[in-house]
Amino acid sequence: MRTSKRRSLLNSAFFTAALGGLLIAGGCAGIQPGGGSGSNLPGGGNTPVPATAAVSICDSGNSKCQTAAATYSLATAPDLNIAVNWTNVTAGNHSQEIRLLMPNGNVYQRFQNSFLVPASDTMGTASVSRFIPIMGTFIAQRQITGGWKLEVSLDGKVATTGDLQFNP
Amino acid sequence: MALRSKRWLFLGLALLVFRAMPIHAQEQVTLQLSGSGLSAIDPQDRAINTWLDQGNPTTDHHATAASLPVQSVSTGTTLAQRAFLEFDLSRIPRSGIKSATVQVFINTLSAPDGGSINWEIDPVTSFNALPLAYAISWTNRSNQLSWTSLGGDFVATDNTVNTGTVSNAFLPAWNVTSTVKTWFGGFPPQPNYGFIIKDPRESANSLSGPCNGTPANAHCDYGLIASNQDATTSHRPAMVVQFIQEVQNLTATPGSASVVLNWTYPAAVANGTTLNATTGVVIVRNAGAPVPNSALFTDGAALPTACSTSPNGSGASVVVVASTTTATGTPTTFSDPGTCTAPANGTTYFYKVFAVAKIGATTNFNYSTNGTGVLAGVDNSFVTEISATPGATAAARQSPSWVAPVQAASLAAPGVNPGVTVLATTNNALVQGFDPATGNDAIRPISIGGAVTTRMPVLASDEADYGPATGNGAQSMAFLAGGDSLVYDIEVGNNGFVGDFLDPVPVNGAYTGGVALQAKAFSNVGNTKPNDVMIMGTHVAASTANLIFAAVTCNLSVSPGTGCVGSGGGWNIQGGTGGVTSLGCGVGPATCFMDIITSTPLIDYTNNIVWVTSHNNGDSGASANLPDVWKLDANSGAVLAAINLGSNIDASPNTLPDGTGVVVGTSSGALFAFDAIATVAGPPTTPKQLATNVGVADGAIKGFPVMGSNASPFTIVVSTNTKVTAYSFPSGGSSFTQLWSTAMGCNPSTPLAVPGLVDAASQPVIYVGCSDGKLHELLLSTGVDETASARIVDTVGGVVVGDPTLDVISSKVIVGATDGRVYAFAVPF
Repeated sequence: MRTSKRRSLLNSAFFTAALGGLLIAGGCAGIQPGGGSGSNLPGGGNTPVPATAAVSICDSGNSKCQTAAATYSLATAPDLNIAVNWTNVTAGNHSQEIRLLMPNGNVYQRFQNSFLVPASDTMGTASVSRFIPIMGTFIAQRQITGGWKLEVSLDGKVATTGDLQFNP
Repeated sequence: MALRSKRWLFLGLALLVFRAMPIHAQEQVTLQLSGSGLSAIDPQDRAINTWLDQGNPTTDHHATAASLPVQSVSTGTTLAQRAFLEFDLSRIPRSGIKSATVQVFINTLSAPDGGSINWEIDPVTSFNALPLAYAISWTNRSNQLSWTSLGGDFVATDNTVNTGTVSNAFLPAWNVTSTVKTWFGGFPPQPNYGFIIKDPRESANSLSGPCNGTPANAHCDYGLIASNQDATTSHRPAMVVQFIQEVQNLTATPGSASVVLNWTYPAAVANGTTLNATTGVVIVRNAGAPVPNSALFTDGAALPTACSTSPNGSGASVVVVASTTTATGTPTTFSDPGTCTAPANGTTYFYKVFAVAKIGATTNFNYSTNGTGVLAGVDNSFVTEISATPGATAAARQSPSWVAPVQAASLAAPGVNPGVTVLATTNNALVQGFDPATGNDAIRPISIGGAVTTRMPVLASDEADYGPATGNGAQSMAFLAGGDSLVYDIEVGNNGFVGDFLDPVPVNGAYTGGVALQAKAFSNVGNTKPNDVMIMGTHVAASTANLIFAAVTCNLSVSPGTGCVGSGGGWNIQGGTGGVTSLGCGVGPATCFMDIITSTPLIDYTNNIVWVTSHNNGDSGASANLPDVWKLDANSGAVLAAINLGSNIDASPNTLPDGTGVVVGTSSGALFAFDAIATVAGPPTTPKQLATNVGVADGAIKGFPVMGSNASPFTIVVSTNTKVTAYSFPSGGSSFTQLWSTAMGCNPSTPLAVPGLVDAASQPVIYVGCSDGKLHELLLSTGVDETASARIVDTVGGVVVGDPTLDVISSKVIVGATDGRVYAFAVPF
């Protein structure tokens, strides 16, 4: 057995959990709520109620949230926080994926987060925020402007999309 | 006697030929972690076999347990148990997945009231990896990382099997095809984090009586799955995968109104089973753009008609050939046009070559696509591709040497171990490595926890000095920071094994800049670190308390005096109040604030100095305590000097070839040269400036200033928004002289300039990827864009070509693009 399989990191001075930073974009207006993946109501009701997602696109300080067709200038390229506010999600474990699609439809990058809806939450709500760096990235360096899309999926099924406009 | 001997010789040769012929097929392999995983057949290096115990949530070390319990409990009783299995799929080459099942054996089953239990299998959605698998518990996915949700992060599915009511039996297999095929394709593919097996009624108060979690309690629903330690090998957990390998070594040779394709069939995977022999290929051709993702064929049906168009309604695609086995063997070449419409000179054609396997004695076939059945759930994302542009003259013809898929934008320059491995940036939670000569997979994709967005430094096996405690011997290594805030050691030479990972600093953000590696093999005696060190900075938005750190690669520690024995530990400096204090920060010493770092640090090996550029919070006033250029002691991180040049800086510094100076390009387009050693005493203490130039008023300098020549006066080339510009700067000089500035008509990448790189006429050249979908060749002496030589990557509107890199062994320029592919072109053009 290779020793690398058993090496301990415990002696690091910075012994921290890695899943912090999932900030809720409070105060951001939701945009383009969309139909979800056919989840049932939390609590086991028989009537299927689709999960819905409201996407907010804010700057990294959550101070400049934009509603539909959020527009940013790459000249002042801010970093973004994408907040997805879920409702009617069944209790239990879930996976959210954001695919950032370029103006020609190609995938730029994917971002995945796991989250839990507790059984006690009868509304099936969850908020998942994702930091998406723009400053200094190839988006800014290569001036990939135009109409981008955010495709938000729940457990592998597309729930909603949001528009994002990058101008020079 | 002699004749008989000759006959035996011929027979022997025939057998040798037969044995050497590839047996390419729809194959089936069984992946099974046995014991400690030292099987020569299938070591399952990346496999995990453990269980999660709610009753003892922080207890780990289950990886060697004899059985893996699955248990449901009464409401309010926190004694659920879940099995966790992760299979190493690295035996399976780039393939289309046809089916996948998971099989377990039940040693003990307790179902109250004689009933049976449904167990579900759920794909795990958070990174965990073998180096720390022993630490997986109900609360943790490694010794450092917690699950987001207690009990593991996964997607709850309705993928269940019924356990029946008896012990000592195999369960019906779970069909996990839909999950496994996302690991071998998709747009983009998904990482493999394994499976959790659980009782879906867990804690749902559905039991017939109270359960206290004790197996002897008749009211508990529980079962014990035979683990990888089970005495009966066949009882150990297994995954059975059926697949059709993609063809390999695909090349295209353009002629006049013709293109010749050649490919090979990979050998069958060892110790697998051939289900349906591969009988050839179906080739789809598309003009002017890659073959659409929707160009698909239905498994189990007859081959498409040659020269038919628009398979599956995909648009302009043409099925140019359905070539299958003949008396001369399985086809390995095709000359387009064959019987179809000839390719037009001057048009670029993209080809996808689907391997097909004939189903038994029927006339129907399966394809090397991911999935079967309804085509909406099938993808061709990893079917082998190539392109070619035929022309009336040899000079008008071109083709990449190979095309490899990543299926998300790939704009950073690939990392290269010359002649061995090229590591592409995937913008995805996968590390992918290709053979730079052929584009075949050099390593199987490696799952990590976040996107790889920057160039990965790669060291050859005789260059890497991983650390005294690793025990891994000499092997090729790569280093990266992922979008999950973790930094990683990747054992490339170990077929791509995550050697170690760590969240090194207590901040949450991203790593936009890449890893700078201080390799011991290239260091002088002034480097006091005994092993390789990775150095980089953080991108924590809206903060001036970012960090620059050095992590010792043996365990990634960033703290002085810690880390593995003898490493001396790393170092870290953080901006902000209470952070860095230095004479370089202003009157004082005062506190330096540190804005985001989006560039890769520069290591001056001669002087053991690290140069780092950063943003400066948009401060055009050049406040001394908001530096955007940092000069640090590579051994300790101490700030030797710092300066604010008056704008954010995204480009990395670079050294002059003779080591006398360092060149920095700013976001305003200005160039600065600093003495490599001398500083100006402060406060603030600043690097000694040698020269500056305001640039060409075309926006920020990208990537880094590239050195186009080794001899003074040096040619320095930079890319800005629309231009590529060259300057001359002599050793010991005091000013930059602009040599030329070429308007590209597109947004250029960081140039690739390597002294000795020449065009077909032996003139020194540089290469630039551009937003017109082409790889441009510019004369180093004049900047003339040799447009006739530009290589076509993908000219579909909006495709941006990334930063190129050079593999000096195979003589190929390798570059990614936003179309999700990596391309290689032979040089000179």
